[in-house]
Amino acid sequence: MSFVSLAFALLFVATYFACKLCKNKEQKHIVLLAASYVFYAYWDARFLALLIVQTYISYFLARKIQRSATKDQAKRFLILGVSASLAILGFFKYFNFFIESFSRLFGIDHSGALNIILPVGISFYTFQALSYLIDVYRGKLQACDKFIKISLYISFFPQLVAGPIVRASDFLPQLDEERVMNRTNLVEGLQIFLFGLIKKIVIADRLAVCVDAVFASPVSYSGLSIFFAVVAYSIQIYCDFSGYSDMAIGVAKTLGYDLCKNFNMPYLSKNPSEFWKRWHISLSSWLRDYLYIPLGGNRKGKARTNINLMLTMLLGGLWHGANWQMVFWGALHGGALILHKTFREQCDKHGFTLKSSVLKTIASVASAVGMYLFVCLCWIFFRASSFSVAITMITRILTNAGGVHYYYVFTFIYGAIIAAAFAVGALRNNGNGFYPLLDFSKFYSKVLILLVILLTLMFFYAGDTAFIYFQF
Amino acid sequence: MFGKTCKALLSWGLAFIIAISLANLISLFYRSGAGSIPRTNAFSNNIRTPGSRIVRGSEGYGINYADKNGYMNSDSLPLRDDYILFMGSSHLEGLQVMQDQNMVTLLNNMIDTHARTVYNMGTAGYDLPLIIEGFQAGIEEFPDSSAIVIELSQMAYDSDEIQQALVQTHYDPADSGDHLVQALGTSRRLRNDTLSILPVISLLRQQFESIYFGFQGAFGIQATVSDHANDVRIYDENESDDAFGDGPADDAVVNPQAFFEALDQAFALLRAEYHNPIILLYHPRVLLQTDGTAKISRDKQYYDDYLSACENNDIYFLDVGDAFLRAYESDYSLPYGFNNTTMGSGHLNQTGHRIVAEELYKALQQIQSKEKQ
Repeated sequence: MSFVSLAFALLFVATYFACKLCKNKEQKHIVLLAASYVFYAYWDARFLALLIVQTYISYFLARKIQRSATKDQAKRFLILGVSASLAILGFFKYFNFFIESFSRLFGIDHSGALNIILPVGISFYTFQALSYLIDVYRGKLQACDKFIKISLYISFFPQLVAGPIVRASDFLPQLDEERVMNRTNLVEGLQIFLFGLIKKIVIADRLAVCVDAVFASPVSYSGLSIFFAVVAYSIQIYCDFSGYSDMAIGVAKTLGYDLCKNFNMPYLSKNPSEFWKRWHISLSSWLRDYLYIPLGGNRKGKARTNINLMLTMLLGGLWHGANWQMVFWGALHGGALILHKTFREQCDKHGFTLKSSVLKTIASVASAVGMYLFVCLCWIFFRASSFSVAITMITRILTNAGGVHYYYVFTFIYGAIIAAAFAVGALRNNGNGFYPLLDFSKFYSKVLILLVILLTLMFFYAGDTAFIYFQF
Repeated sequence: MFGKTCKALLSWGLAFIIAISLANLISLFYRSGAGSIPRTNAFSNNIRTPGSRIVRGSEGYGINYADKNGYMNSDSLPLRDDYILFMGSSHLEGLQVMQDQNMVTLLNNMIDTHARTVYNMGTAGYDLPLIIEGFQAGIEEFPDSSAIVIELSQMAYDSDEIQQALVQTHYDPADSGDHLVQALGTSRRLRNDTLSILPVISLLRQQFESIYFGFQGAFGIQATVSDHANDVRIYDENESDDAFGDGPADDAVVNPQAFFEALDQAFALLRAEYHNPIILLYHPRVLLQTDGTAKISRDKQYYDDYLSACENNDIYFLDVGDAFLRAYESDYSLPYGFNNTTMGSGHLNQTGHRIVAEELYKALQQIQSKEKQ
């Protein structure tokens, strides 16, 4: 079930009041787990079984890891757990991709192959399950004794299908506490939810109108129109995904739980490394902690560091979608990270630093603009239906090819709003995003929240409202 | 406690009044206008509130005024004795563009800038069958016209629908804009005035109606049972577009002979009722192709029927499709769509209105010289 539906509103209200009626945290966990399973099963009840199987594998093998007599034995259980989880993910998400790639490579007809439906959110909950197993193996976390706790951690409905990818070490301790559900939590949580809802249904969904049209037939549009459509997509995907994260954080807050921040004004980034500390933070930190560092990180020499970076980003790309464009998208970011790292090393080696504050400011602005344009370039490969379409779009932008002039008004309106929000974050909060929470003891806050609600109702887009990241 | 609650409620109530006033102010510039007035014995079954201002910003942007008759015309110029009467749908009504940019005003300016020579009876939702049905009433309401232009954006209709339209409506002067305003009931007047002053209500209602409240597809049951396809919409060039109506039921396509006979009969009726030139103005869709070209999407199945029926009944047929294509080929301009929706679909935009006006002007000159001969 989507956050943007009547079904979700009903489920949320029912869950909230049921939790309020609970006498202790154990009862609340049962209510939340039931709500989470209803939430997930609403898409397709058959996939609930898969979620439960994934949960049980994590539960069972984590206990085995903890009870292992030797490190080798624990490692065997870890390998088994990781393999089983990745096998499920691989089968449902990558089977079609590998069969298709293999068939193309050897010219084999693959029309008779299985057509497997991707269970929603499988990439997110698999990564949560993996982090739990690895943390137990590393001794950072005690294996859960109660199945319900690990079940709730993996399937907690606010973040189940599109993140943030919560760490067990962050979430499980919250389940051991009596989390309060008071008025403050409710008011703040609903405001954060509304903030995300606006990003989604007012901004992202409206921009999708232009993005879908131009990406469907880029040859019809002028180079400048395509460029603005790419800008529109950069805003759309940011508002779509960060909007979902905000909604998840908001819903969790109303129920008394804290989820990690997933976005921090990513388009203010001045380099690729900073971008990945601001964009989909829960995934990039997951990849860093469970892939890049175990591969050796930057501890095994320069060449190996670069290989590790590239591998991490290639797999990060593949995580986003089972196709070669996503892999290429990952490679572009991996290449940028390597280039930036090399550039920084050379600057440090030769003692190159900007001394003038004016030059520093100019360099910062130019870096942020350059980084944004690079991210946009990468988004073209991320969104286009094929490599050839992506190349066509880039060529048409660079040659300013003639075509239909389509300057979608909302790209400029929402672009200005996002830029203003980023500017406020940059000036008021040292370059970091924050939720503009209102204090309702003040009269103007009441006017403002009611006006925002009314404007949302007036300007939401009533077309297709599927979240982009559900497909991952 | 009670006092505190009252104070809080009062505070929220006041905040709501201020918020809704601000939202309303925005609505005045985005989507506003008095409601329509229903009627029975006239060309159309409803008119805009006479003298009202209508602002539409969700598709294109237009500020338009309804005249004393409830149609979208400027009252600033006097109506000449011999004027051209336009009948058509929302494309003709032209709420998506400013009034001075619609085909009627542009054509008027080409003919005479000092008087109104073209009268716009465009009414949203009025496609061919409804125009045929109200044709007699239209010429009774505006008896002095020197020519009639019927705007047509789609050709496919149910033959039964056309047959039913042969039963003509007659005009009752009591259904004129002036009389209707005077005779307006208190509740309707209150409703229209409220909508005029508080357009935010109408906007919110429209948005609310577009929300899907259903539970279809829940738990994947439907998909399991019917092996239903996913929700992704794939563009289909045969798919109907709101601005172009819904097209006929399948059974209408089965019997082309019945369709032609109905159409021919309808056109014969129009010809019998009106002795000055009648022009059928057809503006087909323009489809953007994935190779960067544009294609004119004429309703081929019916096209020849229209040509024959027009020829049989001495009705001029003007197809502006080629002019649309020439405009696209010269500078990629499209006659439909806007920068706040999508290009190439929806209603006629400024370019579309201009091309239609230019083509009409040329056609009218040819007709005039032909008539003289």
